[in-house]
Amino acid sequence: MLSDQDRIFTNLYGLHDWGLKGARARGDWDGTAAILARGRDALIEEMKASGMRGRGGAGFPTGVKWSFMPKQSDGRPAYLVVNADESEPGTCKDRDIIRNDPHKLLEGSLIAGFAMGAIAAYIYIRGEFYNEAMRLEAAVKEAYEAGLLGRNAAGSGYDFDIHVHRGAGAYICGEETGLLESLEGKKGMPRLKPPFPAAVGVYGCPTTVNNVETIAAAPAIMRRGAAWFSALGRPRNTGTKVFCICGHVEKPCNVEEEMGIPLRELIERHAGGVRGGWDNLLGIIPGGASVPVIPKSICDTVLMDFDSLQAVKSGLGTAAVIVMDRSTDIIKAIARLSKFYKHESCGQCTPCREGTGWLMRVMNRLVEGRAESEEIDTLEKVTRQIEGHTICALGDAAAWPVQGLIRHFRPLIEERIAAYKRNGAPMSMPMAAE
Amino acid sequence: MTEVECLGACVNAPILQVNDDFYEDMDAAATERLLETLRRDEMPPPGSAIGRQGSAPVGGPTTLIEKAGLIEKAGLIEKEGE
Repeated sequence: MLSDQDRIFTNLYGLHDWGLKGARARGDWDGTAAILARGRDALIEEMKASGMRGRGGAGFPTGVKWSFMPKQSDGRPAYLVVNADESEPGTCKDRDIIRNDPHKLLEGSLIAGFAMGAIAAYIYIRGEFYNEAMRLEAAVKEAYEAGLLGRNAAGSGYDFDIHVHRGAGAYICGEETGLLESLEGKKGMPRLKPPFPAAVGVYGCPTTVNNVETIAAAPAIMRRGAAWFSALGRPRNTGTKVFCICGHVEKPCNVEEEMGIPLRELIERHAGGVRGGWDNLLGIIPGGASVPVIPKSICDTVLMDFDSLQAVKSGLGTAAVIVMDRSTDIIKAIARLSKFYKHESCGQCTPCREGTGWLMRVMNRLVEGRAESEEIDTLEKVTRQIEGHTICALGDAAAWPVQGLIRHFRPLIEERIAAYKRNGAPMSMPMAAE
Repeated sequence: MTEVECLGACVNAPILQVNDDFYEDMDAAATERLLETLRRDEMPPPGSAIGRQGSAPVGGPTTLIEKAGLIEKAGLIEKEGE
């Protein structure tokens, strides 16, 4: 188990002062100028050596991402954009960082912004987080007044500004280029890549988009060293991670743990175990709504990190652990997710716009069992035609939960269909566009 | 009153958002109490209906126990309103 002194987010539960004074007592803003004095390349190398992988879901190595930013400006300014549009169902870690440890995020923004040569950071926070945005603004004000931001930020000789921007509440605005469009005041429709944001990002300038947790962990990595961070977790899956455990557990909670902790240990140690005991477990969605569900047999042994979960055809995603016990109608649960993705599709790519609605309608019939068993294969085939055929990953996110359901719970679907037939309920003709 | 897609506080679900405030860990009885209060034109304090500390587990955190104690002992943090 991770010891408390290795935890980065020491005010995760808001037990202490979130303000500058409290943050300083927890070690934030300590020697920031000296960190910046190490130089851009040294900071990027440190981040690479730490093995930090983006905490927003995709798990791309952060140091490598930073290194994509131009070393020499061609006259355009560069920007850091912090993605605080936390809207992956099941995830609520960034909210806690913002409301309880906002200075970690601000100091991280300065360090990351300096490392990539950015003149300013935009923190894009989802609109529903009104109180959190107000607190973040208050923290930004505190930091400006203390000389930690603005001209000669933290006495480093570097000028850096932070702007807080509130979103208007759309899942798609959490996608990196959808977020940039929204930040520019347009509809949140993801951009076709390339050009990648590091070349043409917000306002046509080089931009890097990072998750709140990634950026907020940066000061600790710089201060304590890459060796400390990479000693935690497993190779290629290093460091600590804030897990959000919700659903059918005794005590839902957020907790910062070491990467690679066994899923069962995570739930039993921190969340009071599965409701009705571990044997009452049906399945777990381990990384937010978009990753495939895994059945109990896999949950028994799987480790919580990017590679372990990928090996069982799921994913760490945002590490939002959604636990479902045996009372769950898993088909209905996945159908509800299909409804979510249908609602949140931005509609610019045909496979996603049409496909998410189609998935939802077929899933709704499967909940009742009003289908033919051959349709399960058709459904699986259609998810393959959505996945990878869209501009952004929302298409994949809609496809994966359905694929996970078919992979692990196919007998249950077939049983449901057979039961519907046994009851002699009327069959309706399945239509292409119901 | 409307159902919305994800308020980003699942660990404290079910949630009701009233204007800008989140009311967390709701159940039927707590919802009725909240609605009664709102009907009287009062805004009850937001947060957990069962008195949880943020997103910590019911009954208190399982982590951040050693360090918090150490910091307080060292007098580095002023204890805020007990």
